[in-house]
Amino acid sequence: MSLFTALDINTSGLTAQRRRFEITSSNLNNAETTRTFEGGPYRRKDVVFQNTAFGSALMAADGGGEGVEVGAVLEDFTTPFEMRYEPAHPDADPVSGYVSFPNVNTSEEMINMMSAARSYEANIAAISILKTMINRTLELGR
Amino acid sequence: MSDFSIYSNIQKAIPQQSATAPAGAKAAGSSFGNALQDAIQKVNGLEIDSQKEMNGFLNEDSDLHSVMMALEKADVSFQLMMQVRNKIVSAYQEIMRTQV
Repeated sequence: MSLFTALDINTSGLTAQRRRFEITSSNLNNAETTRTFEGGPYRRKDVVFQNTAFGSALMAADGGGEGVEVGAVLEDFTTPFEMRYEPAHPDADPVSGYVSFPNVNTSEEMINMMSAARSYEANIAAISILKTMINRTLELGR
Repeated sequence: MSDFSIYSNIQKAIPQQSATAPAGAKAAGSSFGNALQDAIQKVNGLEIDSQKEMNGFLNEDSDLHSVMMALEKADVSFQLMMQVRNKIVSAYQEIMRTQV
């Protein structure tokens, strides 16, 4: 039913933003993690969004009606690890006494989180407007 | 949501109606009864989808917003079906009130 295409698109946006929120939470929570399964400190992760085709073939031919999904979750290899001089730390380098801390910038992650929350809210607002439109249309029959 | 088993009863009722209709007059695929039956089946399908999403949420397979979207779709299509039903009933009553 084409009536629900807009709802489906908004749902894909909600799912993508929730995933982004999860990844940001993971970054924020592991801001001090010096041990991982792969070895070394935690590396901050980023979500990459990509569009998905949605709706009927007619809409796809128009080039409209695209949803969003998380295409990949990539690790940040550009930002260097934060080096702190803590010789007493169990994970400190025995020679230099420096500890590699994750390349997570807490304030940056908070901004990311707020941005994800706002995008989620924008999707919710779009859905409630759509709901009002549908309900008003149904009132035509009364 | 066992209340929705009423749909299956409606579906049983409609083919009987179309079966009693004159056989040669209408093609089986295009009768009003069949169209209504298809629409009711779609509404029923959306209700079943919302039930599945709900189960998925309880099994931690699907998201809260997916459940809400499925419920919303089911609600909207159900309201649409009720509007169609109201129209049919009022048309029927109008005809029954005809003076002979």
